[in-house]
Amino acid sequence: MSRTIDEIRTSGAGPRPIPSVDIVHNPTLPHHVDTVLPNGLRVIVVRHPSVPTVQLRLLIPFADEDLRHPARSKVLAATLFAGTGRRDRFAVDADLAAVGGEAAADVDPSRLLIAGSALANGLATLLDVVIDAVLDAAFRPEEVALACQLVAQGVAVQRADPNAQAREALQRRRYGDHPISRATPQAEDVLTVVPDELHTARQNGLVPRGATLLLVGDVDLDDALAEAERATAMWASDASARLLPPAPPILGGDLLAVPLPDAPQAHLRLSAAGLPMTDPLAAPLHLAMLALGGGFTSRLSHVIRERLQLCYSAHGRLEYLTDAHTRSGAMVLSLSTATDTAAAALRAVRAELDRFRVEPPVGEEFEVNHRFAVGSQVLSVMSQRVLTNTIVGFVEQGLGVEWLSTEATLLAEASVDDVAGVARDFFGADRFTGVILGDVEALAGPLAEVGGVVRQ
Amino acid sequence: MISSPYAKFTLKNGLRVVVAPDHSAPVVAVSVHYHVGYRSEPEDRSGFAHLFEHLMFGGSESVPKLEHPRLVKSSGGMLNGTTLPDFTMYFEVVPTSALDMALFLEADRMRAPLLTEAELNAQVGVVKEEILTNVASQPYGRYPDRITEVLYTTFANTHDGYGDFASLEKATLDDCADFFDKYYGPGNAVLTVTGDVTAEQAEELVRRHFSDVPGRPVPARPSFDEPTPTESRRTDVPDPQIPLAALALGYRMPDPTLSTHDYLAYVVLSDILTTGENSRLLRRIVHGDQISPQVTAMPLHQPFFAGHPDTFCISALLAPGVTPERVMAAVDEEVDRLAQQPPTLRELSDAVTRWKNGVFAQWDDPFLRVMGLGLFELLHGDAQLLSQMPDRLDRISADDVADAAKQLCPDRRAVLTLQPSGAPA
Repeated sequence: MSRTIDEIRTSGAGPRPIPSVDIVHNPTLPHHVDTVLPNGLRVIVVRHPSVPTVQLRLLIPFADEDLRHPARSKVLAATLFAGTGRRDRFAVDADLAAVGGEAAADVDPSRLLIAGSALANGLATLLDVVIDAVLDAAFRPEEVALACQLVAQGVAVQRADPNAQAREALQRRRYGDHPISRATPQAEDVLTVVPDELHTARQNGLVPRGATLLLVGDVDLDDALAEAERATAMWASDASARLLPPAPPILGGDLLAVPLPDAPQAHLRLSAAGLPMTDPLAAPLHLAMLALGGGFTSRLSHVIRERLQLCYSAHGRLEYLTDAHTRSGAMVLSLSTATDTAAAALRAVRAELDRFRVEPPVGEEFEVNHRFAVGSQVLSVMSQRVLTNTIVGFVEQGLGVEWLSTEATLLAEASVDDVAGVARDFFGADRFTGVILGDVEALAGPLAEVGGVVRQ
Repeated sequence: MISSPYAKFTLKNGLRVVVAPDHSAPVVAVSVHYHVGYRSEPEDRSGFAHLFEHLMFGGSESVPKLEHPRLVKSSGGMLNGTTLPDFTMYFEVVPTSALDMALFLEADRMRAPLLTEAELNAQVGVVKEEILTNVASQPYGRYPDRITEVLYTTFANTHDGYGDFASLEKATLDDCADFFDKYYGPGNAVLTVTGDVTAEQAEELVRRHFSDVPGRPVPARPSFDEPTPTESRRTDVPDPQIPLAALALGYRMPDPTLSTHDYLAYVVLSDILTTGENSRLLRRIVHGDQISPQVTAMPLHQPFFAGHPDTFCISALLAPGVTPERVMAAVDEEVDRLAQQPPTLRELSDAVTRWKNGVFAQWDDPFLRVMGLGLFELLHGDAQLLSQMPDRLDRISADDVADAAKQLCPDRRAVLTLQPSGAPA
């Protein structure tokens, strides 16, 4: 026979004090080199010898206003490792497998990112395979034809995902027809991509000036740098890697209701202007967003989800953007709700945004989020993969490995008053625009009562 | 480094402890793996183990509700829990200075969790939301996992961990008390500590916090084995949300604990079938016949994450207009080819080399490391198996892989198809 609930919840010795935690703020930078080669390629090598492997990232700004670019760049990414002049797709795979390696290309409207890894003693091979693809991808007709089919099918699967649809709708709402909104191509455009345009795109766009090669792992800095120089010696171009054109500022305004037929849930996305990573107020803004939407104990989660039970999930985060003109940032709030509580959830989010302006986090609420921000710096470098992803985020904003300690210091020094200042200047419902996706017929009445929502 | 010495000991109350120091980052990971998962729940309490996992975050004697996540977050760390077929696992990843607190929190809720009617009702609501969000409104939400409905016959093996609304609503607070006392005793758990701590420091803290958790009898664990099918079983499911039809083939596997070598042969087989462009099924059905954009072969819950019986699953999306039968025929031909003619030494070594990279990546991530160490100790008897995997894989021969391929018989498997609604089967 088991015990009762009351017997279970009491121990012999009774409640005991919870151990305290000293937040240690002492970031030591990993050993690294950061240099620019004669061809303009930036090379960063970071030693983190936790396990005998190495991570590789090659980040190439790859933006284009041409309407065919979204389709073309997806097919290019899918065929970059499908064979070169001296390797067919099977040789690419065999060479990578021999060093326990993998490599794949991914595109979004702003950049092409090659991500790879291998056993540490296979770095030279990994570099050779990656740079061979960048310089000499063959784009054989049969490979391109198959890739067009697969990418088109992949696009269909992606479009069925409500989160992807919400993202696309938000981009259009806040950036209009700027290329950043064109993340997902149309399947019919994908099916018309041909090898010639891929060759041209590769030659004109995958260039070293403005690109960054990042190596993180169990490497000797000098040896790895020498390998990188050797591997990229033939990579040269007069052109510079192309950045996005200047993005329009995000302006507050009505939400747009977007139909999602047969959807059991509604999806809200709200966005407002933020700050670039390097702004003096970026650290307090980061703390502010943690307090508002940073997970389980945030205001959005605690109030709208737990207390009012109006949504399933509620998160807020910061985003960063680099274009040809400037670096900027944005704030994004994401909620998923049942259809019949969507309007009330929207009202509640706006109320929290307005309240945040005049009741910023102070006391315990500030402390928890401040301690989390400082303490979680440690986790952001805890493995080769996480460290690599952290540094890629810095590189995209024109920064480097040193930002690890600069950011930690700025966060540690951010004060309650700093956070109150950004709460006042950056929050408030009127600064936000956004979208709501769902069964717009069912939502029409309730949303009309809430106001500030327009239909397509 | 991955070859660091482990320390293992067992407390008087039966709690098994594994400590694996690794000083490559100033973090520690703590996990408790309880030897109960959703396979153990009764038929009218489908989803109970997962629901109970939620309740374990509701506070404990020294820790008010919501304090546990708040404290971990406040230290800069992360936490979560997960319910699998054969265990439920709770973990924290925190900066080193928070190890004392993390161990305290796990001990406090192992000793005296706060289980209340209000929290039970609230979490039933939360789990229902989770089901709607993760499953009902996601295309392919329960695919390929629901292959278990077709391959097995017992409730234990066929149902998924989410449960259904009716069962969840029947859960009572008495059920929770019974479940906790039966399954959450220290003797039914493994505590794992890994990261920036020495074995001595860890042992001292563990004994300080866990020694006075009262021991309870360890429940007998039944076998969930059932006879292998003697004929093929098939289910076709229409789905209005999916853009492409999908196919899943499910096969029985050797016992991962008692027949680790044979089980590993299936793992290597899965790599030879679908990892990398040179793999047999990618070459045949994706690039060759072009009848599928995507195919994956692997144990259903990741290698070794489930006890016996585990499911070997080959899942493929179907290109538009392609029938499941066509893809099945191609898969069967390729599997039979491997059964008749073992893979090349090159294929074997490539699979093993890729696995080594994967094992290192798993070791390097404190969460994956603590998850792996704990489950290998709990389910398979030895945490060290995690770091021994590369050596064990080296011992798999081409004939071992061919033998595994021979077992993937069309007349002993389960077939699941998802069809876009309205489309011809």
